[in-house]
Amino acid sequence: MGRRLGVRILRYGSLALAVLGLVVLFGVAKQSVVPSVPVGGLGATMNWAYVQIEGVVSREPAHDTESGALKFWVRDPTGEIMVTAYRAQAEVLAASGQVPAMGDSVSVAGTLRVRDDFSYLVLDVPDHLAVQRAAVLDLPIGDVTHDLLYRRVRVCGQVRADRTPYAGQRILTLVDTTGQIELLLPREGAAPERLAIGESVEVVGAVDEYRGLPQLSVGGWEDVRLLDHDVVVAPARTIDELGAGDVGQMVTVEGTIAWVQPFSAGVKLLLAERGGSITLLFWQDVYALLPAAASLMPGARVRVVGEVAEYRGEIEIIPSLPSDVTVVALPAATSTRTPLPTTAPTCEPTPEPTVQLVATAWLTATIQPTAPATDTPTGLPTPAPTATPTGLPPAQPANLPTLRLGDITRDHLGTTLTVAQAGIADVVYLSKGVKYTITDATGTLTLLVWQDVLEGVAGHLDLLPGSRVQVTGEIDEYQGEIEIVPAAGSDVVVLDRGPRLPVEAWPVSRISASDQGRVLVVAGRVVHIEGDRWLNVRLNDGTGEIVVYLPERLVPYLPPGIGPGATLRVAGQVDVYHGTLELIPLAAADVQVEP
Amino acid sequence: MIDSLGALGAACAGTILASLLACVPGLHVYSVAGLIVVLGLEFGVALPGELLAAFMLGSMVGYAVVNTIPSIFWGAPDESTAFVVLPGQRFLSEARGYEAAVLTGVGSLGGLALLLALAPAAPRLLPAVRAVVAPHLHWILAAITLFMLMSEWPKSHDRARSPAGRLRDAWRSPGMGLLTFLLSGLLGMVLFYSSVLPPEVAFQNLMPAFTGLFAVPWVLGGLLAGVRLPEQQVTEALSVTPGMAVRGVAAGTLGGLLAAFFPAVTGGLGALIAGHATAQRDDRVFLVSQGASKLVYYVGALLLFFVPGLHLTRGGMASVIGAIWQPHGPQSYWTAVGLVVTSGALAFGLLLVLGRAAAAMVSRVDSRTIAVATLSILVALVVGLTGPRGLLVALPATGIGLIPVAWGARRTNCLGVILVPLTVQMAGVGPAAAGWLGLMG
Repeated sequence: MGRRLGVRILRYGSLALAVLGLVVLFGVAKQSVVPSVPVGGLGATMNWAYVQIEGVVSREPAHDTESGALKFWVRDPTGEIMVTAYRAQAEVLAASGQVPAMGDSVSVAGTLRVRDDFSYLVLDVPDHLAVQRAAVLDLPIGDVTHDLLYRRVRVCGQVRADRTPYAGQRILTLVDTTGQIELLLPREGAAPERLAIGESVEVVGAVDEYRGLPQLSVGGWEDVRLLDHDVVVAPARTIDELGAGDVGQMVTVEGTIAWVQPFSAGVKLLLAERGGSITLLFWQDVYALLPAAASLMPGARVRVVGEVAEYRGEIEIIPSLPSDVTVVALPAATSTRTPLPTTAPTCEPTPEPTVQLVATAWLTATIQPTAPATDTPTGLPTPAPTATPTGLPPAQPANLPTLRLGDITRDHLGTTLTVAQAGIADVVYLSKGVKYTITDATGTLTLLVWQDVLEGVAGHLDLLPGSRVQVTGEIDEYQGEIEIVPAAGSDVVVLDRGPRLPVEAWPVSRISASDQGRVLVVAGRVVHIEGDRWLNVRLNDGTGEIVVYLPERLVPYLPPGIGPGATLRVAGQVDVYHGTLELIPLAAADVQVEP
Repeated sequence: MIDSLGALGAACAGTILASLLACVPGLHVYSVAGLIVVLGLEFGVALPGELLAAFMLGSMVGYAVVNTIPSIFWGAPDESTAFVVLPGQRFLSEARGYEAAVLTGVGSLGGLALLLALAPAAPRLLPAVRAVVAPHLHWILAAITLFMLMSEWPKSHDRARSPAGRLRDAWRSPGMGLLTFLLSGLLGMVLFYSSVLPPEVAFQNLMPAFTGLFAVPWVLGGLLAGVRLPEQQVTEALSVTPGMAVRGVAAGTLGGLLAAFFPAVTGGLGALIAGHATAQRDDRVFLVSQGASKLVYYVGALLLFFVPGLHLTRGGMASVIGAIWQPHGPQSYWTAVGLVVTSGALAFGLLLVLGRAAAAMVSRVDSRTIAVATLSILVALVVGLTGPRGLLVALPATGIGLIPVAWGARRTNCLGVILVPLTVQMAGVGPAAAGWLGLMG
């Protein structure tokens, strides 16, 4: 009897305990508030806890296309944690426009998962994510600092660099007059077609940092707007006020080209203005892409944006983009210009500096002398005499038509004519001669000088960029390119040599890499000779040794007697090849065998 | 992994400690693991992660093998449910408790051997299986649940006079099984979708519920029963043929693998499915299969955590280890396999020793005394690990867990506590269902 009663009590007591206990538990559960915990306080024993985190979204949310999950990171003062919303929840968030962006303040509740080295929160209920959108600050780039970490800002600037450090992540460098910053572009969606280096853009992004430097993380392409006006990227400065204190700064300067000098890694120009001058350095990769390269000749007036640098105590400006160079006026023209922009960066358009060419009287324009007189060492191949800078061509061969470059067309193929005056813009050395790009105000043309002709050109040492020449030759075409080909050395006349340092005879010991590009004369005894179609001759003048490189094109014209023990006098351009100093003559006539 | 000797020492220590503690009725190894973590954090004593993982691995193996002792020796049924008594308890009543314990140990060794045989294939096979199965888990779990509910059969041994009475008697057990499942499912929803327990003890979220659902009713049952057991015989020979042992190991391993791989499916449920699938009736085969199933379920599930390319967290122990340390590649995996084999051999030896001791004790110590002591330990553990709110969970859980005991239904129905919330979660309707229950604000 007692046993039966006990079983009955057990049966109904268990039912009562289960039901009543559950009712109480439900009541407690409904009253329970999801505990809010700091990220730094999350520990191993909190695995599976349902908790609430409050903080700022510290990284751009990412969609996993395969799983459909949405992931974002939340940071509070104590730490950072990843939040995951699986496909169903992510779709609800997207549909309701509640996907947070970096910089937004959020309050999120979910199930905490703790692993040895990584913890994350699973958002089970979309409604348990509350997003407070961050206000956007309009700032110049220079004002974007660490203090604004995770804040959303709007900046305007010009795209100066574009790189993809790894697949899927494109990073732009944006510059305005106050500074530069890197933009991490969205990893999903399509970028605007025109978004490229040189374009001006307005961007909204959240401030992030990488290796101690602030950067902007852009959440979506809707936050990138291409501007239809250019953003000023560097303040206007005058040449004479630039100094060592400006090194590292971006500046805009305007001046007149005094001389042009190529060297092995690019081209140097001297820019002069109001008594001051500064070196303009184009690395070859930039120079090769310059649309206005042909116009960069002495007398041309240019406006340049570039970074101020210092090399061996000399201040120089280094443009990094082809679009950094604007030819304001060609040598033979005068122009009226608006002043350089000096305003602070703004997303609103600023009046564009305009250039009006008011005269094209190239035949009568006066060319200012820009280079010192040549000191010609005695006994050397004689450089061409410096032309009197009148701008007028000397006597021309009779009965030949004289044309400007722009007037020369395929209709002239096979005819011989004279180009009265053109500047040398570029030089390419071939195996049998030299190809020059000559230019005037009307166009450009290839001047092909075979080596046998070059040997006879008086003043061939001045056939360098910046010099002006008069050329008579036959119009030919090669691979679709029209060229003028002189038949004799006398057909090429140097009218006005480009600015170069004097041709001087130096002891070998005095020559260094810093003399690269300069034409010098060396006399010494041949101690070694090697080569096949070309020759490497090592000269020793008692102070040191230097390699004289004799290219293939001039070997056939070399004087006899060149061999070990012979004494040579050589005029050539200093070059550095694989770290070795070399002297490279332009013509065989520059190599003399001395008795 | 840390040096092999250190890991081996830690695993052996874990095996020995867990084997001893496994003899305490109702004391689950997950609770012990949680206690170790909490005490370690509390007193700033932290083993290196690798050593702790090896220790836990050994503990898991020791528990899986030796836990058969309290279930056979202290889980005596009362007379009202004697006809559904488990084979182990029937063996106990026939003074063959030690033999029953050894038979399950044989099953454990067999399961261990099969796990070892499967180990080389696991890194290639299981990730692929998981990829195939993962999108279908919700309906697979629902099907398992349905099978569990539908395979409950009437257990009434009374015969009512009226048809209505017979109908009532016939549906009493299945109906109470359904009710148990429903109530435990509601309890699971509360635990999964609300913050009843403090977040600091969330890793033991299910511990008070499991204690209430499974451990306390078992202890209370023993307390109420108060049966006297015969003097136990310690036999050196087992009444099982090799063929029966192989059949038992195969069936048990199948059930254990099911339970290890699928979330929310426990060893008991896996064994139920495997038992139906292989139609094993013999008590000895059943005991062998239970030993194999239990080991493969507990240890196999934990090994899934070490499988390179799979790294599956199944079971409470993997969850505890994962919060502290993560395995790294094949070296960790093969070290774990080696430790499991060593610990398994050690645990089997301990089972023989402890089984003899239990057999000697069981007829001399009053089962009520043991039940009271066990109940005290359980309550202390619940309060100690989860605080007073843990009791708030354990009490209704005890009520739910007592229903199948009192009404003669399957205790596996209590697994609704994880089957229900996991199934609805995997079906993508978990938060909605919790919302209907008013659990999510």
